[in-house]
Amino acid sequence: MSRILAHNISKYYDTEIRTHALTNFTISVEDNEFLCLVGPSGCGKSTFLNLVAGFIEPSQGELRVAGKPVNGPGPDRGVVFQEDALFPWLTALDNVAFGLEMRGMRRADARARAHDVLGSVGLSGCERHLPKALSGGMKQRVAIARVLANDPDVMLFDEPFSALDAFTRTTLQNELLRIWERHKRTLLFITHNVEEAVLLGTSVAVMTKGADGGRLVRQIRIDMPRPRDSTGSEFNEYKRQIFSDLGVAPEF
Amino acid sequence: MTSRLVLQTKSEARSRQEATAEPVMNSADMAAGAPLAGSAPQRPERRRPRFGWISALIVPLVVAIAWELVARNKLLSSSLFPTLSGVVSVWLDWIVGLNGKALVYSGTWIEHVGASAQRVLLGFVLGSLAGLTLGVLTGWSRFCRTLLDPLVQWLRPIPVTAWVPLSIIWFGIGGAPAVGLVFIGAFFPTYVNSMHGVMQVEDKLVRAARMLGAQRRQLLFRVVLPAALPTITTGMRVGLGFSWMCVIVSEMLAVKSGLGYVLWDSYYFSNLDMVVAAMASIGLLGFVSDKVFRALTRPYLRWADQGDRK
Repeated sequence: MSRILAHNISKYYDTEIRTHALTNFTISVEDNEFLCLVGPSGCGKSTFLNLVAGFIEPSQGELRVAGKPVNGPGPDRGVVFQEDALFPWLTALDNVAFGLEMRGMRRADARARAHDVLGSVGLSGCERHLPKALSGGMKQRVAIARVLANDPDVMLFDEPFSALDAFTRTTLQNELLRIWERHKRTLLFITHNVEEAVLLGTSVAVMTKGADGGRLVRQIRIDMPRPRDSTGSEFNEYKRQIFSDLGVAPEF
Repeated sequence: MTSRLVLQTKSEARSRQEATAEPVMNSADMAAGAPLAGSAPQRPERRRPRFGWISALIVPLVVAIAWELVARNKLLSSSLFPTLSGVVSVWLDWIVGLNGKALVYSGTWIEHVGASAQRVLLGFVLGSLAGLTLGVLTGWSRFCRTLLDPLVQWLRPIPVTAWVPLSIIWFGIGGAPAVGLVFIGAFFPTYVNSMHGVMQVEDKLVRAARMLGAQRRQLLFRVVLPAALPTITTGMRVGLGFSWMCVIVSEMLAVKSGLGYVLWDSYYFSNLDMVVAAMASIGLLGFVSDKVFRALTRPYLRWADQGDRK
């Protein structure tokens, strides 16, 4: 069953002239699929994520999540943002407990569960830290934990690791794969890093920026066993294909 | 590879530094990629002013000495410029009733300070609460903003002194018009800052809360208000300062007690020492009330502290 179904959706903004962000975009994301959307800036990948999250509405077309039309944001679709979007006045623990409390769980129960979830992303001992006392990588762990605490069917990642240094990024990529393998769910992961997309995704959707907004070039299944060897020839073949789809393949 | 290793050391240093909120190394060490492991535990290097609070007294002392010298040597006429020692002895008598230099006001300082402070407290609490409520409302709802904001912005430029005649007509002579004027003084800054604080809450926080399941009401009380709190309290601080101005103006014109009344009455009797002592008292109370306000709000604003600014 497809968890996310977008049929011919377009998103444009009417200012002085009409600006197209996304044009006739059709894609289907299966249950428990880990789909990476890769493409250059302005190709509409973040627009698509914001549409699925319900932060914005499509100008045209049909968008369904779990069979129902998207109508505003909701806890069934957790989002991990690119930049730090934690509540700075709440401790790490209370940030994670926030969603549970919003949905009516008693504070003590919410905190107990938040404590466990923080532990599962490797942040035991940081419960009482405010976001400003955490490093960039730790903040993104809290951001993942607060979404996990809500146990959503769909998790949306908007370039979550792009601001981190290479080592922290690798650690968090592995952590994310571990979480996804343990608790299967549908993941939509936006990135402009081709290597990251091939490393993480069960499939990769390649997008480009056209004259009238972003469009989908191709959706490729990545048939590689995990853990994937990012230095092997198979991996490089996928990268080569994607670069050529993006029109930035190096000449040999 | 070397550069990557340095990167790791840097990020470790950064996370440690942030976790303890104390600088572990200075920037030169970090740039050189000096290893953390194995080095002796470093003392947190916190730059304090060299003489601590004593340095805060240097400028006031210099001004005081210069003042006394100028006044003593009659560089300016004594009817225009009282001596510091004269002011201090009148002030002391006003406070504790030593030598009768403060005349009818000997020993009445606490009484007048209490009268003014009470008006400020009452007017400020009511005015800032009203400003907070209406400001948050207009910041939160576009409909309320179109409804209310034009009127508020029209009334806002009217100086407090212009309200004095109306407030005397409405409330008569006494404490009530003073509280009314303080209300006005505290209302506008709190209103403006609350409205802008609420309107300027970052979109990413609102989005985060909504995707976590917050409903509109929860969004207001659990996200928007806390996020706007630093701006709101800044407005209230400005309002508190205005409150002292308002209470003094109204006491000078319409009330028979309080520091403003003493100041104006002493002016009538050309008691310049007393005028300056009253002015100094007002400044002191404004200063102390601001300190108290900051101490009361600080626990709720700690998350927004920049912390390591020198």
